[in-house]
Amino acid sequence: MSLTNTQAWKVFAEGLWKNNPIFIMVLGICSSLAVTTFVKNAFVMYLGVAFATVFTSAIVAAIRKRIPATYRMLVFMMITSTLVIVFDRLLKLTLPAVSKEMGPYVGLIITNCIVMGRSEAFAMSNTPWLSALDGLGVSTGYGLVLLAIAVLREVFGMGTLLGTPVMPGGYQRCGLLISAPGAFLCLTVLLFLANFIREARGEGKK
Amino acid sequence: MKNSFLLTLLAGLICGLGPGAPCLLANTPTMPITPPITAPASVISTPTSATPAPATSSHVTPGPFAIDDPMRLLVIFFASVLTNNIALAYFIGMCAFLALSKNTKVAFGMGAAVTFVTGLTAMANWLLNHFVLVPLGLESFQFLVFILTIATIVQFLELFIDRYFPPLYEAFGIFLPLITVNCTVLGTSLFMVLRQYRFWEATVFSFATGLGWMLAILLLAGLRHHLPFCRPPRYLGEIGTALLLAGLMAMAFNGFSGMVKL
Amino acid sequence: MTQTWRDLWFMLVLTTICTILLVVVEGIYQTRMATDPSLMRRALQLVGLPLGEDVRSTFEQTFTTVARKEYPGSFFIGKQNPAMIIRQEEGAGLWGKIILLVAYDLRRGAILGIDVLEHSETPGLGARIEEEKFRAQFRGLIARHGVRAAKIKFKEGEFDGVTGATLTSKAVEEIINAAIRKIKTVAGPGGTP
Repeated sequence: MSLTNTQAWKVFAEGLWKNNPIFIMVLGICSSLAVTTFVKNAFVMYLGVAFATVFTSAIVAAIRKRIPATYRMLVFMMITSTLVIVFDRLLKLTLPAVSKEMGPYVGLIITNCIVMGRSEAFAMSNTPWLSALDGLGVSTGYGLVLLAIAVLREVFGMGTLLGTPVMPGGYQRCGLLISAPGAFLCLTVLLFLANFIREARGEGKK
Repeated sequence: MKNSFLLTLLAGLICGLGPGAPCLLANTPTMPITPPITAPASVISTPTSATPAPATSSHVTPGPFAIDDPMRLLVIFFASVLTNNIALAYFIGMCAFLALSKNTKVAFGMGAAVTFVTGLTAMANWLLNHFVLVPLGLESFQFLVFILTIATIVQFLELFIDRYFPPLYEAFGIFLPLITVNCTVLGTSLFMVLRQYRFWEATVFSFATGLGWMLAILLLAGLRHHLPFCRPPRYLGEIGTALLLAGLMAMAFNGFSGMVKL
Repeated sequence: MTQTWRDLWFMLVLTTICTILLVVVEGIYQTRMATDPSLMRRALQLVGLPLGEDVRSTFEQTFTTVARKEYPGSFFIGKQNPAMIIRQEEGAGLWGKIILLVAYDLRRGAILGIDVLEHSETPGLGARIEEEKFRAQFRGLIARHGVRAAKIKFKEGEFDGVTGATLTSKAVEEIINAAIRKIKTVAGPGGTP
């Protein structure tokens, strides 16, 4: 039995492509547009969302039988915001410059629909271990799209990758990609490509 | 909505005249953020004060409720509605922006609800932050307290509107529960703290942000209304088309930049 | 009824756990943040003292850190020379927050130097407050009643603003004055802390 056949792998891989939060579920668009001017910021955002999603899912799954049904949104939010505050403090200690650039978007992980969506849809009816894996898969799927947008925007908009110049000298930077409309256009192009590949592979649109 | 806005402005005037008057007379622009047009005026007026160093004498720190620069409120208002539109420049509130903009009526309901809730919660959060969290040194609880305030106010509002204004509830009651997880509301509160607004600035900022979001979603809904008459590329899908439209709108809104600066 | 009580207990326990976790994290964060070595290095360089082998221990030998309830942030008061006080002060600039480090000598009523920790002013104009040429004019500037940006200097405490960045210069002036004002209150009426 290979690794790709286990149930754990299936749960993890689901979020990467088949159930990608940005392409299919259209969740968490805010941050995918706002923090993708630099690859570094996008990666930090991915770490933050992964941290929040994995632990929220695991904790929610662990106490799912005790969570009162009427207040479950409140419970999710409390767990998530506690985790996000912890992440925010960690970030401020280790990478103060990045934390400043991200501004309020770290705090907005709380209302990132991915976190709450996974708690509601998956963690409430699964074991902690599987829920954590599911959270990791979904947030990795989200992170990959984030990184793709960030690479596009940083390489063509700034001519650099992770701060080091990669384009040939005399390259005219494309300012549009760095500004706000560029973010929308990048995501549109990626969405187009994803739909195209999906259709070409015969998966059909959902 | 309209009434509360008028009340806000009126109360702002009264409060601002009290503690704010010395600042107006002292001729020192405590906030250097003014629109470019008025900049020369302040340049001319400041060096004329005779005393050499106004370090200790004329340093009146305005209270949190003072309006020492009414012009700034106007600048904040226009900046948050047009140049720094929360949806198109900061990408906040995107999920609802894309999901609920299929139909202008729904978009209007959601926009009105967001404007109302954003304004109310930002005011409540400002008061909580300024009078409870900061004095006690509990700034780290900001995220947690803000989101709980938002959830509580939304819940309360839903009950209140359902009980006393049934027609209003029918119009935008169903959008209220959705708002708790709408980033616009929390984002406004976070921006407000980050930019260190005083009370009336925060109030104007939050209502204007809500209005800006409403403007954006209404415009997008209007554009999407006309989509059946054209054929966007097939692989773009519905969401892709909406994103493309939002990108074009963001470009158009970029044209406002330079008008006012926040 | 029992269900309601169980729910209530659950929420109470959850809130308590969250609060305790946050308090612990915040405690660790505050102790780490208060002793930021890069800030210590800049403070030592500002008053022209050697960094020594270990910045942290040199700093602790040179300065005592004092906090005042009414002003958030710390004052660094010289151990050998208690008239020398460094204050980190922030204020609104043209586009965003400006954070300055201001060293002041109470005995002479002179600024020992300023350092720009953070700003987001216009590059090429307001951003020139970072340049050594701008900062150098504050070294030894007598400012018993504060400073003032001026085109022609003929009074005590006046400095050259950055050309074309009047509002930024004005902001710097206000931040320095606020720092001096707070340093004076820490010192008390006698002039020494």
